[in-house]
Amino acid sequence: MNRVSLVSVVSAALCAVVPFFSSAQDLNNPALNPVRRTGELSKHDPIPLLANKKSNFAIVYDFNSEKDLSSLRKSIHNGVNALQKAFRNCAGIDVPLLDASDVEGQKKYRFLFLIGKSAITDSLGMKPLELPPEGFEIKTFEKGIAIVGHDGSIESDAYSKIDSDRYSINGTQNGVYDFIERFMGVRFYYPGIGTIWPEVSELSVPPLHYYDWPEIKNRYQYLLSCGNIKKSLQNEDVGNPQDADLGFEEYWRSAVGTRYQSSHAPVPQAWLKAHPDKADMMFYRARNGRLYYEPRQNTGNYIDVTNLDVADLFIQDCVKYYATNGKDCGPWGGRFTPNPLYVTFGQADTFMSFMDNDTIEKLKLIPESRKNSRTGMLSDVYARFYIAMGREIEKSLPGKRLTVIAYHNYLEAPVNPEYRKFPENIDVQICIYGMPLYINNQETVKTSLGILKDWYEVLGGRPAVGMWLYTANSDLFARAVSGLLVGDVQKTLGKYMGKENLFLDLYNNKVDWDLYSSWYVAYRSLWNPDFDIKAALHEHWPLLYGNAAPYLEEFSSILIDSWKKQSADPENKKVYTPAVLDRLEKLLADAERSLAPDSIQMKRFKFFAKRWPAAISAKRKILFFEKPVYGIKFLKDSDSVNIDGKITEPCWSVANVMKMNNPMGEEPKRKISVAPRFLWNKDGIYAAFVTDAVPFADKNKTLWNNSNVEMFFSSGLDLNDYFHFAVDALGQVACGQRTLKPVDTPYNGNWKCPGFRYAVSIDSGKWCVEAFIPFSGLELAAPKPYSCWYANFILNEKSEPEEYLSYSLTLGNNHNVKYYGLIKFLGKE
Amino acid sequence: MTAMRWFFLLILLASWSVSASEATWCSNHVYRKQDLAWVKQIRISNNLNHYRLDFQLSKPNTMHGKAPSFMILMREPSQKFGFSAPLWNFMHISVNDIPISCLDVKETDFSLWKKDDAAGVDLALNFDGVKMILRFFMRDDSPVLWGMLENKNSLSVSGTSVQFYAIPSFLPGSRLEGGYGRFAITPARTVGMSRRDVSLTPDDKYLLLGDEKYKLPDVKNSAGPCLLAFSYDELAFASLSMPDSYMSKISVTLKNDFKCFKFGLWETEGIYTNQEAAEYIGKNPERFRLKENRVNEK
Repeated sequence: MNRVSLVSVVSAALCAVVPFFSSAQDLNNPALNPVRRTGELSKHDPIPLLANKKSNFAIVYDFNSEKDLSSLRKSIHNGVNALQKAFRNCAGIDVPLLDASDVEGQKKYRFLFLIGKSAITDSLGMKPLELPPEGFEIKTFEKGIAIVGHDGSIESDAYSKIDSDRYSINGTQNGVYDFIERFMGVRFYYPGIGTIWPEVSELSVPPLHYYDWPEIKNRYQYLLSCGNIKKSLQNEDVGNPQDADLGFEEYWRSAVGTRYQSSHAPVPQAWLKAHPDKADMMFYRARNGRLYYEPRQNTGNYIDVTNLDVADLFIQDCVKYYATNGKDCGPWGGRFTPNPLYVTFGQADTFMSFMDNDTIEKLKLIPESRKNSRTGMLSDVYARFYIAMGREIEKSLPGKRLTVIAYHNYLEAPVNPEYRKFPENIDVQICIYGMPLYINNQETVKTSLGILKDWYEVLGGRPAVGMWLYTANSDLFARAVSGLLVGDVQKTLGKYMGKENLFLDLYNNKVDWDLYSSWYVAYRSLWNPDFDIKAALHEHWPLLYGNAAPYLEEFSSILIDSWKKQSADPENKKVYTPAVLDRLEKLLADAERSLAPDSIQMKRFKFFAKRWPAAISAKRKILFFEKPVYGIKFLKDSDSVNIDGKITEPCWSVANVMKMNNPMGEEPKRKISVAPRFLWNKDGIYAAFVTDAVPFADKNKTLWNNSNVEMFFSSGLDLNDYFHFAVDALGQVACGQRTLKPVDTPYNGNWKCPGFRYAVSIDSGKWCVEAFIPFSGLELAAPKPYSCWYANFILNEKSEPEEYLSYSLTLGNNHNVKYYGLIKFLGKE
Repeated sequence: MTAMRWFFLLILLASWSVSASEATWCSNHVYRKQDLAWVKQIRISNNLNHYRLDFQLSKPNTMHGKAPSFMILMREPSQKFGFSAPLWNFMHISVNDIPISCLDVKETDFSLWKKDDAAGVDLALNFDGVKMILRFFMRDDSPVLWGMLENKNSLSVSGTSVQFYAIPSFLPGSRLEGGYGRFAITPARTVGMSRRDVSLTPDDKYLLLGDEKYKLPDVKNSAGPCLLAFSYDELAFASLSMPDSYMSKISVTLKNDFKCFKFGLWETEGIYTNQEAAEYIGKNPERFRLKENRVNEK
């Protein structure tokens, strides 16, 4: 054992035996939220709330408060419940509850624990409404302790009928959680065995007086709802927690503490339903005649932002909405309806690589400098539209604000001076990809700051008020660290980043709780970017893992340091070296060896470590990645292939069968077998995918949500461009092309391949896609015999059990061209 | 006379009597084996000499676009220079503009053989339907590695060419001042360095490739001349490229109706002078003579 490990083991052991309360009085515990402000202390002796597990205090609050509010907005009641639960779980006592007006009752107790605003807290001079929303004040006085927060429930007009259900201002509740963490040692890392309720027999609170409030107002994560947590947990892994212990929205202070909201709204289908005769006006029609309306999902729709009549129509709908006090809400389909302050507009989540119509052409809405820009090609198009909406709102809905999004290829601020002066009533939400993962990459920071500064100028010295942050989708090494960088984003972007909303996209529609440490600190950092991540993690290792703490702490440190190096220089091949991967494996092995087999620490370790062996193995494969080579046999002149979805022709039996693998480099699960085969002749490539599965094929779903196969080809070995074909089990098809050199241009989903033929058959537990890709359709001559192309082939099997297989690695991105494998066009036999 | 030279002469004397040739697969160190999809190593030997050939297929370059490449390397006897390392390919074949390096050669395409007074290896090649056999072998009576490229097709084949590459002698750095002194001695003439390719004629039955500046005794890393012989019967054209540089090249273009192109390569493990090599070849003409039709009957 090295010296560091030994020291860590000793300190972990000490933590286990030192009485909790001796260190819990420290306001400056760096593992918790930094206290923003302290107040003047009352002069009194420490307050012995618990002595030998016996208490002599009551919780006092205004029983009549928070009537007619949803449970989410009952900050005081929720705070009371949380405090009661903490004493019940930690000390085994039920603390009595008294109404704030029950003066006689209060006399029976030596000490009072005041929760929320009441006449008593008023008499103590506590003024919660002077705090920032969701902020709180905790102070002791001779007779006890008071926790009072800025709650929406104590304001007469805090909530409106047309506010989002999620909107809540719960300062008192936040204060109670601060108290039970800071003074009782409760920790909420993950549900069940990841939640620490320490045994507390003595609790004496010295004089204290402090305030805290959140940095970011909207810290909401819908995946932390009780229902979503239940969906995401394998309950037996974490000790089968009860529903009542899944309140991680509260525990992690994840909340919508502002009326500001921004998203893809209105819902295209709902909006069209409200105006069924206006599809042609509302949605963009490309020059080739395609109308971008997709009834089945959000992606695929595209509101025609070149048409200012569309802006007018939207504002008219907003006017009706307000006039009917939210009753006329059809266009929004229940999502992001206007609220008392904000009207929200956001294009559907469709990347429109090429947009062109008479308006764009006439008004030159795509400046020369932004042609093919992945981040700014359509910025002027959108700016014109947003400005028109903002001005109309000034006239029709004075006092209301408009929230819009800067996204995809309209992320950058506009160029045309005419569009660089936004009305004051517009707030912008920015989507900068690469944050927080690449916050240590100078180039990413420079680009991001450049974009934000430009918006700052366009918005007249105001920042973009909100941002989306993106974790890694599938790379466990990056994902495990991503949440730890959230605070750095705020500190780095400084005044150019607003404080209304930071949404952390966790992907995969669930919280992966084994990476709790990443998410736990992420939400702490949204509360306060100066949250000391290192101290928080250092404190938690021995709490959860006992003797294994030093090994896991080093494991975590290696992950953090490695990602910081890798993200700073993505081309650096010397980060996840074999030595580093060996070390990670050894640390996991040492950690496991240090724990008793049936201990709770071992159970936690198993939960923590379960995905890492496969991830490390995959990383090793990536490190030693070798491109696969598949030989495509030449189709004899005497043979022919009928594209009918059936591979009955004899020539298919001699075609090589391609081996499919796990796209992430992990060991293939091979739940489903797929046997792609290819042949070629001077005219083109014949492809056949036979999959041993009953496919998921729902006509109400798009190609991407059904079982499908994808083919990617890049001719030659120069990676100048690539072609993309996708076919689902219903025979829905999509084609695309992207030019990579000499200038990297956006993916063109409108590209068509003349002569491309395909057929699908579904038969007795199998399905087959057969296709022909003509070289002429790719505008290419037939390849020379024995020449190679880059290619990748994907099976997205959506039926249960779902399977994702590929020919070469994708690392989660099927367009990851640098990992494409090779296909070799063999000569005649 | 150095001890090394005495050793070499002793080998020559000891090998005066002929012995049976042998061809076996072997396993020796492979440089950067991790970059190879597979490698097959063969040792062909008799009492007069031995050769080790490595046939290998490279993996595609991980990230930056190199296709798999098939290579034929000579690793012994000289181990350095001549037709051996640092050359990666001492022999290139191209049919209808398809180079052998890009073919889909598999490990199963090789076969060892032994017949009468010869032993060697055959490699079946398919140039987009044009089937050929590339054969390397040793005769019991010769220190030369003989080879042939046999056209197995009934139809004529246009555009078949073969290039041989050699580093005729190794010169320590101090000898390089003023350039190389490359030469090729044939039965008919001595050809010096030239910027232009020199056409070869049937009188140039063999070429002893060397360097005038190479003299013994010399440092331990020295290497002497090497020899290439080939039949002109089925050649359309042959030329020597011997500029003032490290590497020399002999190119042959085969007739469209060629059936079998025969050649021989010679180098040795020992160190000897240009003159000694020339004398050895001159005194043992049978050992360096192509023999018609013998191995064709294998």
